[in-house]
Amino acid sequence: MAFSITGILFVMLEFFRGMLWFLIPLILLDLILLGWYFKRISGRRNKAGLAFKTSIGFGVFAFVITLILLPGSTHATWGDLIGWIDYFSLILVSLGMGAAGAVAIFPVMLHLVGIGPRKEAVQKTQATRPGQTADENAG
Amino acid sequence: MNQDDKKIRAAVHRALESSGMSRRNFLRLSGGGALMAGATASGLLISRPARAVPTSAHIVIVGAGAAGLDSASRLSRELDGARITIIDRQEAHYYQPGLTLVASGLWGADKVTDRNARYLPSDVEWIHDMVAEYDPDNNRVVTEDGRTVEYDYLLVTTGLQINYSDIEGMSRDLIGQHGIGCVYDRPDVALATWQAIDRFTTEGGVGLFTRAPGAIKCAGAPLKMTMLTENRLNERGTRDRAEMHYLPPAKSLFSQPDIHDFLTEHLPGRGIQIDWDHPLKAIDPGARTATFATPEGDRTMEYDFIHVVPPMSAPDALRNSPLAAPAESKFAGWLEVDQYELQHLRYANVFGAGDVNGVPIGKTSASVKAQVPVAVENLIQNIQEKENTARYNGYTSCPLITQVGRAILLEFDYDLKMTPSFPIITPYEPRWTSWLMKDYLLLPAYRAMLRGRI
Ligand SMILES: Cc1cc2nc3c(=O)[nH]c(=O)nc-3n(C[C@H](O)[C@H](O)[C@H](O)COP(=O)(O)OP(=O)(O)OC[C@H]3O[C@@H](n4cnc5c(N)ncnc54)[C@H](O)[C@@H]3O)c2cc1C
Repeated sequence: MAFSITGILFVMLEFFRGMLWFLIPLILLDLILLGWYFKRISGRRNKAGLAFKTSIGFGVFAFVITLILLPGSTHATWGDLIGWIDYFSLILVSLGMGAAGAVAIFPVMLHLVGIGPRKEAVQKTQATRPGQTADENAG
Repeated sequence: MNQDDKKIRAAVHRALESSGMSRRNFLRLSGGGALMAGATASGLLISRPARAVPTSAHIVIVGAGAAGLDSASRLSRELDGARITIIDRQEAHYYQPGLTLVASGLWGADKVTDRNARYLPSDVEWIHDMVAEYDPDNNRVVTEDGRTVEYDYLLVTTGLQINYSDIEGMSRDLIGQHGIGCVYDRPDVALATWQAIDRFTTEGGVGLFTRAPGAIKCAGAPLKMTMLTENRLNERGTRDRAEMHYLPPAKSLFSQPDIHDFLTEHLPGRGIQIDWDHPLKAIDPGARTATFATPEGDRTMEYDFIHVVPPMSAPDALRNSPLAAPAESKFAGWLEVDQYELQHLRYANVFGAGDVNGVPIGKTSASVKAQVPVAVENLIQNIQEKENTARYNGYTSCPLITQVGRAILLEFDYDLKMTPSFPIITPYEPRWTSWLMKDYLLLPAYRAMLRGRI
């Protein structure tokens, strides 16, 4: 039986419906953190690249954890994965969890590691250390 | 619908009644309801989706199970101005496909228990009662509390009834005691079944797994219970203390021939003996014996655990009504619908969806998912006095669980041809991916269906 894209989206909505109490505040918090980041960053060095890399690291961690725990969470064992499709499904779901984890943590990381020192401070430092380039400060 | 609209419609209804003309005839004479809806306030004041069909028809849905809720959601969305009434006394909604997991100790009962009210659109009137009598010649039903409800169109979605009394000595109260289990009932009964299986898989003994003759819902469920129990015995290290029998009523294990062949090898391969032609006739709970009416005569077997699958039929009220297929039909007692268009063969304003339909296959919620859009679309076509356009191809599906962690995702149609939604998942071998879908995705898909979204 053919599934439509909207049908799949509605199934996903039902899948997450029970978690909306948690997901909606999380998404709102992320959006607020993102907006706040853009406010905080003005006049400072942008180290979003470092925040991105750290978030990817977290995503990889979430991917690995899902990979390890998913079969057990379905009461199955590793021995139940017997064809390429089973490994493909496991990797696909784990990738989804990894990506979701990375996206969710990114605004937090922006605040933790994505804001560099004030640009004037950098310029002052550069003035005192003429040989150094601005790139060395970028994440 | 606003209050003015309701008042106008009620006044029109009373005027028609006093003139002796049924609303349905009026709707037909007046050009299929569009005129009526156009004359009402709602047509002017409330904007509906462009595709919604204007009508003031009264549609009665009997049964608020999977098919009833799905139908109500769709009709409410696809019609503008219709009066939609659903009749069912049951408040709780059970996700029946999850009962096998409850009865095998994997899910709690709360995971499969929900409320109908959560899925019923607010503009659908809910009568908390049961239909006791169908009077299709007069376009009305009578409820157990004596209320008469008239309709222009009737959608029958009452599911089926489980006839414990067809097995001598058997009743629902026995489930969970005397080593008796049955997965085909409420979640608390499935839990009681798990308690019986829990004991059997701890202590061992003789396990009998029966299957009723005739049409039953989810014909895979008796097989799933057999294989899950065998799996549990293995897990507990008690397999060698148990003797297992699967007892089909005839010479078939499953209607789809490839799966029949697979199971014919698979079950004996797991040490499960197949005793062909063994319909369960009687049970003696005290003595723990079961009697089977085999072609060679009655055979009585002792058991420590028995999974009873009682015969099933359309609910009595339907079975004894003019809507039921006659005795000479191969679907005797079930709702007599055209198997493709799902419209009643004798009463053109009656449609059916779900387990109650007398169709060759398809007593699953997967069939409900495929049938409801067809029944609803054809009903709406009839409101507009157009030909039926939608056809049901017999689609049915069942994740046949072979053990915890593995299942075969079966999908096929009237021709018994496999029709996989995801061709990359083989329907011929047990896979964890199919199990993953059963465990995580089928419940959300079922809920999306109840909201008429898939
Ligand atoms: C153990 C088990 C396992 C299953 N596994 C699967 C599976 O894996 N996959 C799958 O697709 N399907 C499965 N099914 C089948 C699926 O659950 C049913 O086919 C589906 O629920 C049928 O929907 P329905 O609306 O026709 O009937 P139901 O959902 O049973 O609803 C019928 C409703 O009608 C009401 N009713 C009855 N008589 C009257 C009356 N006279 N007046 C008013 N209301 C009335 C009842 O109260 C009930 O609410 C399984 C079922 C069971 C029991």
